[in-house]
Amino acid sequence: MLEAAQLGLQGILAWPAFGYLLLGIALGVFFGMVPGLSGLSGMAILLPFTFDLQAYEAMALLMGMYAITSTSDTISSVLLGVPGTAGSQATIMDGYPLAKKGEAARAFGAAYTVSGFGGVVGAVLLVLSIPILSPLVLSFGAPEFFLLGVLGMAMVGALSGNAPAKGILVGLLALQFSMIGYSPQDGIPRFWFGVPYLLEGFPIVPCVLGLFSLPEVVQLAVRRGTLSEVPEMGKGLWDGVCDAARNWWLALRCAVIGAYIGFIPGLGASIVDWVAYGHAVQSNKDPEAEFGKGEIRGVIAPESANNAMKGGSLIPTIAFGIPGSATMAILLGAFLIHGIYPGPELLSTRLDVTFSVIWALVIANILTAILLMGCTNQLAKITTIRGSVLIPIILVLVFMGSWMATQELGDWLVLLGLGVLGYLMKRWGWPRPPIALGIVLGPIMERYLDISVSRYGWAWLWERPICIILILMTLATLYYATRAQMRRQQPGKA
Amino acid sequence: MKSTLQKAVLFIVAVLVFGLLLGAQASAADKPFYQGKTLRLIVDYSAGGPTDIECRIYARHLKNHLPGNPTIVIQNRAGGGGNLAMNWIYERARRNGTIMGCQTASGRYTEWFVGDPKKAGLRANMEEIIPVMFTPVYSVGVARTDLDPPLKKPADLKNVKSFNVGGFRADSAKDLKFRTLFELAGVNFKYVTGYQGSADLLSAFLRGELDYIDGSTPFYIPRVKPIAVDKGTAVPLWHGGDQQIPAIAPGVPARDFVKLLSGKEPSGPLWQLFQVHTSYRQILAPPGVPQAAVDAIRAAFTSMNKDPAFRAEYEKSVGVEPNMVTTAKGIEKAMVPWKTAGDELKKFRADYIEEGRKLAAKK
Repeated sequence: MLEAAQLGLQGILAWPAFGYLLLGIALGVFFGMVPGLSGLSGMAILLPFTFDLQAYEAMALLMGMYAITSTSDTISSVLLGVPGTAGSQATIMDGYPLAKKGEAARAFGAAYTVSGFGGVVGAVLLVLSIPILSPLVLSFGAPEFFLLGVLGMAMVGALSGNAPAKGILVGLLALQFSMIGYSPQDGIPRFWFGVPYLLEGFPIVPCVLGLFSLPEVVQLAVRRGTLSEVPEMGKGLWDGVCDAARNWWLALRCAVIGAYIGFIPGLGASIVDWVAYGHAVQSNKDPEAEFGKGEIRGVIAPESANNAMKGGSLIPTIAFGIPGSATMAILLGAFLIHGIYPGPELLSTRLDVTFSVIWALVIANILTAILLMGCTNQLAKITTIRGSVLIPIILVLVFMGSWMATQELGDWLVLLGLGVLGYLMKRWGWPRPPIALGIVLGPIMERYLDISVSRYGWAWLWERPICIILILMTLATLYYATRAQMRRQQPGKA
Repeated sequence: MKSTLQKAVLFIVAVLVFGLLLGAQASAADKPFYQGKTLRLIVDYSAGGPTDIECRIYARHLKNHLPGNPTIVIQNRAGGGGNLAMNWIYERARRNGTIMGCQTASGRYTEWFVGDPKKAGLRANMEEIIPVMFTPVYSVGVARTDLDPPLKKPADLKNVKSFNVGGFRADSAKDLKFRTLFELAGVNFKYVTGYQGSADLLSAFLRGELDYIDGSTPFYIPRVKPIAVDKGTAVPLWHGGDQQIPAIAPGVPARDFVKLLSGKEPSGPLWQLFQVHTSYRQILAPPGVPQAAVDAIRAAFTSMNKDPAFRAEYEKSVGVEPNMVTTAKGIEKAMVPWKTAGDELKKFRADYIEEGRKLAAKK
């Protein structure tokens, strides 16, 4: 394992891989801080550009970008009150009030320190889990994969929004969409209407860019201009660093929470910051703390968790080839494109590649924290660029990223179609993550259900212990999500 | 006098222009077809797969063997089991020699000659597509050793009590090949299909969900051999081609495998069906491409086939020596099993696929 770790480090530090890591970091700063873009859009846009790179270089570029969008997204959360990415929504709660009080620099100092710290903790937890992952992977067969998919769908459906019923309904509809194309076992084309483009189903990249990026661009256009209301950055960057050091225990707890949430398929960015924020509020013993009005711990908790989440989210992708989020689904594609196959190989013969990913996470997190400490004043100016200038740039990137999927006109039609759907869903408060995950997980679930029944009959439902645990976890998720919603609807009982 | 001078000047100018035109024509004739051009190779599977890996090796070396040193670009058009790329080449690619397919299009040929192209979404007329170069792709079949009774060599398969075999899809070349082969050899097996790709199959094989896996040599050599065969947990059973490949011992050529287990020479529609699913990596041109382009590419591959640098890289990645067929006669010979299949085999294949669907659905 040490040899693989060393090999992975050498691979990432060798030129030009290290150059790609730096490029990834630079792009990650941009994708993170511009509302409307995110690590997900970045991953989708960059993927086609990695085709001609070596595996280490591609991993350096993608991981460099992905690892740090949740560090740079703090800039727009604090200065604009608009989350740069989904993972920094909770940062606004206290980050924006701090900025209005003239303490933006302090918020940044704390956020960057714990982001770097959280990112490293997430990577360390990933390393620690490797020895137990290999036997765990081999104990997962087709039935377990199917039920893991069911659990992922149940979790993302039930948790990504205020109404579990809506989320689950959207997820089920997405599963229907995912059935377009060849059936996995029979090879009979379904719902393709004689259009060869549909034979392989909807490609994920245009779907994700349509669902998530286009609606944000429209919103940016509708808002007309993104000038920050924050008058000045203020001073106190070092005070923020000291705040982070004083609250190291909170940062560590939130990093562990973040990594754990990342590990569970279907959760991820949309809730990690809120869970950590909630933990900070609940565990607070300081009577003078005013969460929601500029409390520094309200910045530390989500920022530590959202970076740590990324290390955790790599576990199901690397170990099982089951992506827990749309971003991980694209990363899975990147692995396959570069001849890296998730599962036992990434934990044995190609462990060096796994370590190159981990090192990229660690290096990117540390470098970005230092970089942003040094030049936040300059970078913050991007948030003052008018939407009319930013929108065309984002649109070109989005259309280009979509076109790279199969280079068919269908890519743009899917992008626009799902863009309209995504905008309407956003406007009417319907959760969008279950669609992306349904499209990715649908074929996987259908395939493994077929294989499970063909290989084991139906006995796996009650004979295999991991299957029973996964079924119970799914039922518990649905039960608690429904109960929480019922309590919200009856304020008296809350 | 003046008029005579004018005539003389005109005559000299005319001679000069004529001379220049002739010179230009001569130099155009001498100019290599691909000089100053970009050759786009359309790959029918996504980047990173065996077809893509092999095509990228071709692209790297072809430039040095193609007069005029054109720029060579690889473009992936994955989808529809390869139909998307083939339809695009047939219907939309420019027919001036700057676009050709670098594909594993054997499945398209099988679908066209022995299947139902319309039902499969294949619109390209495979009889009009110009085959420029073929090189055979060898499959390798491997079984776990921890069976009951334990397996040490291919012949032991006769006595194995339970043998779970996995594939991609009932109508895929992979499934049809191992089903026909095991039936010919008289092996009793349980058929499971629907796995997403070779990596998925390998994981199922390693965790014991499947007892058998097969794949082409670029998959077997770097990925199955070190993790299973070299550790003694798996043993090669058979491989494609007629000649023994030492790197795959104790696995034997498919024909010998059938003889070893059944004691009979393989024959009949099952064997015919196995043979029509022989795989090739191919360079294919859309109909109407200038013959000069086809000739230039064939000559370049012939020359590349002898290039030690290319051979070394090819052998390292693909696991066997390159064996490129670049003559029209050689390619015609490779296409004989498809062209002579006939309606009887077509019906047999359709029924066999249907039977496979029922077998896979059986609990």
